[in-house]
Amino acid sequence: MAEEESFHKLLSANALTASEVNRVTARDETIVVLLAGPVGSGKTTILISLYELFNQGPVAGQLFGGSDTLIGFEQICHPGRVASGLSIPETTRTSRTVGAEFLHLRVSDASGDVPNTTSLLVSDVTGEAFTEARDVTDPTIVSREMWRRADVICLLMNGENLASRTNRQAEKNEARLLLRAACESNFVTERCRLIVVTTKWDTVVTQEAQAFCEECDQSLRSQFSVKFKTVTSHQIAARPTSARVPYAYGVPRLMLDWITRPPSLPVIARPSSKSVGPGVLAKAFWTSEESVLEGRFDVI
Amino acid sequence: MHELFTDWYLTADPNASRDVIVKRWTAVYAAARALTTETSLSLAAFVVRPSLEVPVWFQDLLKSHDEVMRTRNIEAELRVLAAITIRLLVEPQEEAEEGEDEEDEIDPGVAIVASFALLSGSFGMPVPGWLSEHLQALASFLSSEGAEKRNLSGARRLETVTPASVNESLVHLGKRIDLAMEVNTYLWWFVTGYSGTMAAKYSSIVPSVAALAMSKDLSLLMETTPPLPEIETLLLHAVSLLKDGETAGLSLKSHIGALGKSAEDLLEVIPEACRLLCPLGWAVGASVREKAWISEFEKTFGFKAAATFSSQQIALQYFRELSFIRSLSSTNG
Repeated sequence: MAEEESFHKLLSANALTASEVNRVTARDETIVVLLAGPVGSGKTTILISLYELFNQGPVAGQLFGGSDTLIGFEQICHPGRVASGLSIPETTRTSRTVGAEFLHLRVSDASGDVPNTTSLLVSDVTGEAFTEARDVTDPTIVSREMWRRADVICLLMNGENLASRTNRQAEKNEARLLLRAACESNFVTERCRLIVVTTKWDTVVTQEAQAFCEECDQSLRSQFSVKFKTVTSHQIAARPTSARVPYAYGVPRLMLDWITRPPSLPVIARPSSKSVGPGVLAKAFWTSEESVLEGRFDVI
Repeated sequence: MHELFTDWYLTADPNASRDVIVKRWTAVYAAARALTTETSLSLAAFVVRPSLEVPVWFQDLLKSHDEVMRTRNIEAELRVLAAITIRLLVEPQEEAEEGEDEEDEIDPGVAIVASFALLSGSFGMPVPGWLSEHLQALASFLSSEGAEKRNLSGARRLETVTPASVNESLVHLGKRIDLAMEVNTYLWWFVTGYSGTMAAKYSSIVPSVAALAMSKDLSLLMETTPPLPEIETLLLHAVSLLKDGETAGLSLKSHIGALGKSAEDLLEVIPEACRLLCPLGWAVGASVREKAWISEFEKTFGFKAAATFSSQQIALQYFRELSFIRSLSSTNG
């Protein structure tokens, strides 16, 4: 009788499909980030620059703690390297024919004093994923479950287009439409955070262009702040073409924003309407102190 | 099944099949009903202390409901399920699940202890979103339970005069008197502004120390747990009246460092089962022993001693830890 061969299934280390992400979410405290923006806005370049930074050392006080998708990272990084043989670094266009795939990074606090490890699952998605989520009850590009699981929607606006008088309005409108589609889909949960990112910041040179970017950013924040837990903004230049800013300008700060949770506040309940005893005094205190207390406590 | 269970479980497994969801639900439902004071403490500690391993009984119970459930590299999933189990103590399902024994009801004492344990133990650490909604529910439960235990609203009118109805009214009257006395005591404490623990007026004590002393003094006046919810408000109000009582805050290191010899007066003996769930009590105890405590504290509790807290936050946390210990004593008899 032939001996039975035993096989050990090894992880492929390619990007994870949506059905594989539970390998990470079941193991680690995980932040799921959807990087969204039009084609050419720099979604994949952010991931490339982040990976390359970690190759050099800690990033924003975070140590590289491993990745289940090292091959996936190498695949997207290769066209940007000398070894690719290309004279100008390029970024591979994300395929639209497959469902969203996730790249994984595990990071931990570099000081080592506090045990604090977080896994990041990041997927770059095109606008089609947003419109599909709005129009279809069972979307396929990003599944309903992954929309609901998303902790952060990182919306990218191409700074180069915002700096151009010809293209800026279209860029601004597209960003607004994407966010509106996300909100109308009813998949995004109230605990999801929105980060608005202006990419290619090295091309936003004039004061007038910077002012427009700022106005655009403010407009999106005011329109969508009620739909998300928090809204923050960043300007980055992941692969700058000029020497005005360093390589991966703003990317470490952006990553920190992904993994940073809002400061935890002690939870306290307001006195109910059926308060007994010193309830009247308690209610008077709450009325006068509410603004201070809400900054120091999670008031329910 | 709890209407939110699928959403809660989504954090750990966004793509869980219906079969897996049902198995996990059945397991946590059974776990909640099987919880004792002791096991609820170990479960709460596992949720908030990343260095701890999952309680064996909990993993065995999960496995018994799904024999193909993975055993390794599922720590985050186990923490999510552990927190859900504690949540179910305060939100029991109204309809009995199939096969449930009618006697398997939630012990309210266990629910109170477990709620205190998780709230107290999560202080200072970065709280993920999936946990914060459970903490809100537990805080709400303790508040309503504190009021409910003393809820004597409505006039009691005897419809029929019988020995039983008269006795019931007398018991009700007794409770009203107890409540009035309890409230009186707290209000006198507030008016006098005097610390029995420190044998001094709060105004003469360093504010950060006075905040802790207030927590200790109030906890000693407490006869029933959970405390009346308004008492937390009274505590915050009293702290806000201290000089510098409303400042943005000091580091935890400074709050504890300011205690000096007062630490011994403010020290509360923490039962071993609660040590990992009472960060301030732990720090006060270490201060009394004059031990270099910061490094061990940070590794144990997952946040830096340099993190800043207002005196109100410190006072509330210490009061909760002391209430937690009292509730544990009363549950254990």
